[in-house]
Amino acid sequence: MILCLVEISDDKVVDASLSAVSLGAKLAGETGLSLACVAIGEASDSVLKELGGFGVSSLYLASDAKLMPFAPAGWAKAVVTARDESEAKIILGGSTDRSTEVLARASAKLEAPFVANCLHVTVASGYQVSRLRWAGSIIEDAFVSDEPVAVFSAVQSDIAAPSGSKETEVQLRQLSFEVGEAELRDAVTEVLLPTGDGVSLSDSRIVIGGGRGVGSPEGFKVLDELAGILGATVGVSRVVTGLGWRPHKDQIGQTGTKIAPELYIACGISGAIQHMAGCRSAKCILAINQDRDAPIMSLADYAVVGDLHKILPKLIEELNAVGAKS
Amino acid sequence: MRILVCIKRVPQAGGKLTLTEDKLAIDTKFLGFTIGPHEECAVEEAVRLIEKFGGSATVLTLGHADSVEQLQFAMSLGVADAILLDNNGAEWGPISTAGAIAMVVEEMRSNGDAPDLILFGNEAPDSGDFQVGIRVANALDLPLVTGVKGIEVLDGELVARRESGSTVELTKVSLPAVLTVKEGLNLPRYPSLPGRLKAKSKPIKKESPKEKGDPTKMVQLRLPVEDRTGGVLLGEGPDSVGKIVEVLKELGVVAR
Repeated sequence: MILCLVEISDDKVVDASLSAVSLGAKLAGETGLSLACVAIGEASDSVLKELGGFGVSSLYLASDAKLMPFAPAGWAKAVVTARDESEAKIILGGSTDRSTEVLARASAKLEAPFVANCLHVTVASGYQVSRLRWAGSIIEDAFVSDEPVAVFSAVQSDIAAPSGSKETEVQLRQLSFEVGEAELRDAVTEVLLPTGDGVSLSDSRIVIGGGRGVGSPEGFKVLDELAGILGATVGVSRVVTGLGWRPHKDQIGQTGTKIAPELYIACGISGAIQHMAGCRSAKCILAINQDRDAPIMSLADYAVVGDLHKILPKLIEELNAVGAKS
Repeated sequence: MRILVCIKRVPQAGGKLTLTEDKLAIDTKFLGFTIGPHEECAVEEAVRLIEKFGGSATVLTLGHADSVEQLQFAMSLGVADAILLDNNGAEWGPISTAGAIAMVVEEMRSNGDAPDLILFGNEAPDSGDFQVGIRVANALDLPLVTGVKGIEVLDGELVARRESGSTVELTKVSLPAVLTVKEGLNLPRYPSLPGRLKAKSKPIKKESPKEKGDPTKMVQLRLPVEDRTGGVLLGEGPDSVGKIVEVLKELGVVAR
């Protein structure tokens, strides 16, 4: 049996979890093992139907209200209990913060290896995996020896049921286990809702980035003005937050926010690997930099050599002359 | 308050990484070394908590003897002493690493010097295993919060703040506890000159850790294929603005 941890939100399986279910379906096809899922909370008929599309045979569900909104030790116990009942050899999950933590906790309890951020997993007298290091700047090919249980998290990828997989009727199996002090001692006690100050960096369609080349906190005025015209959000490189010019929530990169806009205009940013790890998913990158040899100039789709403080004001002038944004 | 903060020496990666000939490591011939941003915040938070509540912080690392450089960096900021688990720079997996760290804490416990708080970075910048702190908490049977971006301590209890999508989650745990933290927790200070000088005479306890063994073995590293073909130079200076506007129109960002 292959067991896949899925997160359910707004009556749907989240995309990161579906990436893992896709991987699970592929491995099930290769090994002939059956595929089961485990979730915490409620699962409607539409969730079961969604999972059935991937050939999932059963869903183990832990519905104790004390496990919500997030009791990671309790969630890990649900995974361990489902694995004991299913006798699964492989445990999978998505690469969200929550799934990563729960899989790591479960693997520690099971004394099993946990391999995070896998691009591929293949079963071959053990497991061959490709996984991300340096937030994707390097790929590691590794071998995991044959273990009673092995745990993997899947990098988010294109979601598709493997061709030829049959739609199945998913059996719902209620998990029952004690939810006590050990499961609740580090559970979330309070959730604060967002204060609602506009579109977040990760959801923005257009992002304008500023790096050391902006020169000062005041230097961002011109970026803010351009953002106003284009309906964009301003983000920054790590140097800028390190200098205290802008708050950490504005940081794009490996240890900041990962963005995926239609357009990313990177101004005065050199393009260190840690920054590129955060903006790699942008559809189009336009870089403006004084240094034509900066790494970002060859990584960007479009590059302009020059001083952003001379170019952006002229661009703003031009856009104001052209008139309305789309 | 007694704090243990765990760090890892990693290459100071910049513009482009190159691999060694055997493809088992990053070529560090032209690179310096550092600790990850999450860990810088872990060290800073340890020092701030000690400044507020008294007590002392110890910094720990497992790796090559050269990691003394990173231990001294942490001590230059106000950490009292250091533990170096010298494994001669071998690439240890998370099970072995966590096992060795848990043994150190067990030893501290039996010496009546148990830490109230054990801090880690949320993940190492290089290996990105996302689990050493979690395995240590499990081995020591301690409460654990991951991805922490805010800490408040009151009467032996700690409230940890973390982000989850657009919401903020608060978790209240009793001490002792393990936290894995993220950059943004604080803005780390720079070491002062007196701090750097003092760090050189602070004690470093060296131990040889035992390797438990990980079932995972690296076969090779490789660089991802860049799917961005890139590199259309639009022009130089303010004269290129016309071309930029054309691109914006092409992308539908600006009305034609």
